[in-house]
Formats: sequence, C-alpha cells, structure tokens
Amino acid sequence: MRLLGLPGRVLLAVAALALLAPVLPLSPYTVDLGRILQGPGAGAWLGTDELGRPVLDRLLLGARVSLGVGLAVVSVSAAVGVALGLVSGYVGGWTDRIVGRVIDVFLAFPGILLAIALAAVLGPGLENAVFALAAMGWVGFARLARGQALSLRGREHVLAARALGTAHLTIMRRHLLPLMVAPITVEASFGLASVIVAEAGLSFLGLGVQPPGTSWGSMIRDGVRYMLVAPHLVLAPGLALSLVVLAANRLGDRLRDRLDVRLTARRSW
Amino acid sequence: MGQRLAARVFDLAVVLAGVSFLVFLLIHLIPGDPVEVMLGESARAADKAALRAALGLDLPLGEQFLRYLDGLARFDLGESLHSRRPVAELLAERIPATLRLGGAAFAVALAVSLPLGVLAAHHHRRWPDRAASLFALFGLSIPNVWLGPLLILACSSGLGLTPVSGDEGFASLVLPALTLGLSLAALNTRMVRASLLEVLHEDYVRTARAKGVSRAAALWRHALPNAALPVLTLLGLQLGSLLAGAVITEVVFGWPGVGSLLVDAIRQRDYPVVQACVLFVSLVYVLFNALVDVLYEVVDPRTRPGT
Repeated sequence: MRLLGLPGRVLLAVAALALLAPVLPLSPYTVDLGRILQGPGAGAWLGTDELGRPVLDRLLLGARVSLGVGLAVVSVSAAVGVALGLVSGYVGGWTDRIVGRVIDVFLAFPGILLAIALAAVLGPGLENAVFALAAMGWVGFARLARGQALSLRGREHVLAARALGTAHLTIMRRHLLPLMVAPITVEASFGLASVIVAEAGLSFLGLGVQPPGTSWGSMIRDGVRYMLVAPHLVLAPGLALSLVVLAANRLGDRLRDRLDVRLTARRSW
Repeated sequence: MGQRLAARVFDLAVVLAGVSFLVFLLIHLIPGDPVEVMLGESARAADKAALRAALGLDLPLGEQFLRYLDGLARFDLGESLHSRRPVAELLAERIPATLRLGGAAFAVALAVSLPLGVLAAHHHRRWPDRAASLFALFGLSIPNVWLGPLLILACSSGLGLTPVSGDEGFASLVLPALTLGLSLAALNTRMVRASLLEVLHEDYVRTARAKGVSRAAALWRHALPNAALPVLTLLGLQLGSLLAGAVITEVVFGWPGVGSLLVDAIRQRDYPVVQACVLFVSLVYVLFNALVDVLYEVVDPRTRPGT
C-alpha cells in the first residue's frame, strides 16, 4: 500500500466504485424526459443528460467499461508481449531476428491509428475494441521483455542453471521472469494510462462500447452535442477520465522511482 | 558509411514492406464476407460479384498482394466505394489541411516547451521548476478527446474568440493546434528539462562557469546545444506522430484533414479509403522516424561510427 501511494489509492477507489456499481442503487438507464439536460442539483448530483438520465450513475457505469477495458487490455498485452519477448530474447538466433522485425513493424505504426483501423474493420463493439487495443499494446511489453531477456541470459545464475541441465522453460520462468517483474509493472502502469486514453478515443469515434452502454469516451462524444447548453455533460466524464489517467501516470512515475527502473523513452499514443 | 547506409535502407524497406502488408491484410480481417459488409446483406448477387471482381477479392491472396503493390507503385489506391472517385485524389485533397494542423501544433509545442524547459532547469527545484512539472503532468494526463471540447467551451463559447469547428482560415486553426500541441509540449518540457539538468553537471559547464561565464550564458551557449540531441529526437518522432495521429483532434474540430477522411470512410464502410488513409499515415510516420535517425548522426558527430 505504501508503494502505491496516493495515485494507487485513487485508482483503487475508482476501481472499487466501478466494481460496486451493480449493487449500488443506480438508475443509469432510466429515461426521464421531464428532466432533460438539468444541471447539477438535488436528486442528480452531476445533473442529467439529454434523455434525463443521471450523469453520476452513468459515470459509474462508464467507469466499469473504461477501467475494465484498461485492465483487460493491459493484462492480455502483458501476457502475450512478455511471453513472446522473453522466449525470443532467450532463444536468440533466427527466432529472435524474426520477432525483432515483427516488433519493429508494429512499432512503426502509430498505435492509436492501428487500433482505430482494426476496430473499424472488425466492427464496433467492446470485444473488438479490446482486441484492437491489445493488438497494439503487446508490442511495448514484447520489446521490454526481449531487451531484458537479452541482457539477462548471460548472467551467471542463468549460465549455472543451464550447466545444471535445467529445462529452458524452467530457466525462463524461475530465473529470468522474476527479474523482470519491476520494469514490467512500471510499463503496465503507464500502459494502463495510455490504454484508457486510447479507449476513450475509440469510444469517442463510436468504435467502442455501443448504446445504451457507455464509457467515458462515449459520454464525452454524446455530451459535445449539448455542450453549449449543458457543459456538465462534457466536464464530468472528462474530469473522471483525466483523474484516472493522471493517477495511472503518477503511479508509473512512483513505481519507477521506488523500484529503481530505468526505461527507455516510451511511445506516446 | 556506404555499408551502414545500405543496411539502413534495407531496414527501412523491410519495415515499409511489413507495414504495407499489414495494411493490405486489414480488409481480409473483416469478419465474414467483406463484400457483404460493404454492400449490405440485401445486395443483389450480381452487384456483389461485380464489387468482388473490382476489388480483386476473387483472386488468390498472393496475386491480390502483388496487384496491391503494383497499384501502390503507381499511386493507384483504388476507387472509393462511396464517391466513386480515385482514392489517391481524395487523399491528396486532405493532406494540406493535415500538414497545416501538424505544423501549427508543432510550433505550439516548441514555443511552449523550450522556454518552459529551460526555465525549469535554470530554476531547478524552485517554483518555476515545480510549475513546469505541474504543467507537464497535467498536459500528459488530459486526453485530446477532452482538451478539445474544453478549449471550445472556454474560448469559442465563453469568450467568443474563435470559430468552433471547420476550416475558416487562421482563427479556426488556433484551437486544434493548441489541443494537439499542448500534450506534446508537456512531454517536451520534461525532456528539455531532464536533458539540460543532465548536461549542466558536466565538467565543461563547470569549467565555463569557473572561467567567469555567467550562469545564463553557460546554460544557453554551453549546455543547450549539447542537450539538444534527445530533444531533437523526441521532436522528430512527434512530428511524425503529429502528421499521423491527429485523428481525434481533427474529428473534434471538424478539421478537413486525413483523420476526418478516415473516420468518415469508417462510417461509410468505404474500406479502400480506410486502407489508403492508414497506409498514408503509417508511411509518413515510418519515413519521419527514419529521417530522425539520419539527422541524429548529422547533428551529433559522437553518434557516428568510427569516431
């Protein structure tokens, strides 16, 4: 908990709210045409949207999607990327050359563009958005794990394990992977921030979650139309989005400093 | 030198081929029958067959890729399904607007981050430094999807200063350029500050100070040129991503660039146009990154091999 600090606590609190959303007395789908576009006040702390639905309730519903997609994408990307990078860096040779080139090609794409194109081609929807975001997210982890594996595989304890005839898989799991946990955690934290931003972008373009479901990005998209009469529709989800991204970025900074990790310049999406 | 250049050109060719291949594959990722997705399920069989033949989807995959490469070489990107116009023409119409927006955003990023970064390094750990760090942190954390509407809310509707959307001359360029530029400025400020701080501890800066060079002069004349390299790299990468990744900002402000074209094409299921936009943007991005690598060696003799 001390390692997580304030940013970690903010993230946990938002995550807890998102998890609890189904059991809280919320009515995010209740259309009430009598109270369209009302500002914040009693009954609806953050006001109501263009269908009279309470913004706060929808914000919590959106938190489930934004955070859920973020966590899902980061987990999938980390699992795939680390496995691929680790094996590639450890095995070396032709395998590594090919994997290295594939990583180069994926790095050559501006990530968000690839995600937009994939989501567009696969069709709008949450699963496709997760797939599209993971398709660009694994690269960072793969590059990191590959670099680490390349520099670690000549270490004495690894050579000793090989001399003792330890199976390659065991060496990777027991002798290499534990040494990479710190940088991977840092990468995951920054990754969470970028994925949440990217998801908001996809949803803003209408490529993410479909109505009546919502995420912070789609709330901003819907709110923009009524922005001049009801600015709270854009301000509330934007603030939530920025707060979570800020927290994830700060958490990354903090973990990097505390865990003493040196990372090369990250790619900005 | 020649050998290194050849190796670099080969690397670039591999990446370009890989990028083209991935973009080529995009249309084959459409679940089910792409032709049905484009025309709708109720389309007549004859229309479907005609479109399939027009897109070459009835050919073997290898031949399709060859045809695609052949078209690329002749700047023939196919025909839009929606407007029936050549895709290359549609793209060419939009490129100037994207270039203008990218250039303006780049200017914003430079104009904000250079002075701010230098100021922060000069007043290390005092309030200007803290303020710059705070700016950088917020700049990095406010996504363009929100910064855009926020700026519209503040400037266009609140103060009535600028047009809300579209491209109506210089005034309408201000907000999109700010939106796109400020997040880059945030990243850059950090970079300028960090690389300056690193260099300020070098011996030659101490020597200069010992000779009686003022603090400011040591910073500007001795430290800054040496700190420029990482900053330049970042700037180069950013210029690439600016020209490439302005999709969201263009949509927020209705800016008629390549990004808007892409999103419109997505809505209309105009896949040849989608493909062309993605390809164009990615190629620009790759070429810029390669250019930065070369510039790196030109600017800094230390990175040249054999010195």
